[in-house]
Amino acid sequence: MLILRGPILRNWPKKFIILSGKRSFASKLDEFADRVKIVRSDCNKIVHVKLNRPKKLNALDIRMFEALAEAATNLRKDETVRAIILSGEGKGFCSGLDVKSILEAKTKFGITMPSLQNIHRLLERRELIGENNENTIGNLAQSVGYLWRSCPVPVIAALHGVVYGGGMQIALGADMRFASHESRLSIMEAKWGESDSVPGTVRRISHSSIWTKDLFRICLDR
Amino acid sequence: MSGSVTLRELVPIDVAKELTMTGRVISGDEASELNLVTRCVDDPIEEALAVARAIICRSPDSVAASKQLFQSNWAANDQKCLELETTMQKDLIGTWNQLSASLRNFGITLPYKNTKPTHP
Repeated sequence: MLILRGPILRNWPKKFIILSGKRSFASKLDEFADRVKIVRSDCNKIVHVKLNRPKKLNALDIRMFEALAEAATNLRKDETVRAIILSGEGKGFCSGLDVKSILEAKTKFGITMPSLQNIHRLLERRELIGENNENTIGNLAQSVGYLWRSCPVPVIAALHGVVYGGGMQIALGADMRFASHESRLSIMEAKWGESDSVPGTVRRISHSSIWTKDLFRICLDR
Repeated sequence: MSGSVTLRELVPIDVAKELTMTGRVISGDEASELNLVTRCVDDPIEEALAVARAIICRSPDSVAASKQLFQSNWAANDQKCLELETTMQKDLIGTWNQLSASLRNFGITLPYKNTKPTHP
């Protein structure tokens, strides 16, 4: 971790505070808006699950992860549903992981600080295992893509604009993908010094600290 | 994320490696050529809706079984594949939804029931 030495080490907390210090009214609204919009059509048989954070190109923060996992879990139990359509509100489907917000957490005093709390939350497997359900074998990060496979109805992804990183992983979890001609897709993890499904191989999960260190280093690097 | 499971069903290993190692951004059209997306269309939402509407005309049980059959069998050995196929066929034959689906071929439309099988 050579990179942590020298001026970068001294400067990084300040950098984070500058990034997260002042929050505009718009970003406060963003904080409380529902991350996933669910619209039903065709006598409730077709459910549209829309990633709903258009100002951030539907980037995945921890609430988006949770909302998507919750939507998939609820919908697979819903007997009236016959098909699910996944899409993104606004200019793109999903720009991938919201690295900045994932690396922050609110302290007891309401101050936003750099933290690995969310990373641990994303890679935590224990709470998802059990209840003899084979389909809960992944962690939270994996489940936003993988859970759609456990729905007994077809899940169709409608892709437009950017489909990067985590967004691509969600799309890959669908049964079919229809993309617009101008859409742009990428398995973006290489940009963050990661392998495709970093949290996707069991070996790496047990060494999750490697991943968090990498991610942290990259953010500092940026 | 779950890409190591989902990607192997779609593209050859060399394509998976190239895209992952480079992180290259590709267009919808190239993604379609590489089989990463099902197809490229002018209006993906409309297309998704049209396909969803076509699927909901079929029996919910047979749709659910097809999904599960292919997912379970895509990377399994032949014996397991054939076993699961037989189990699912036995489960479906003679059910209300199978009857309803069959009668539609003769112009008789009976509503489907909500049942969907599960074989975890």
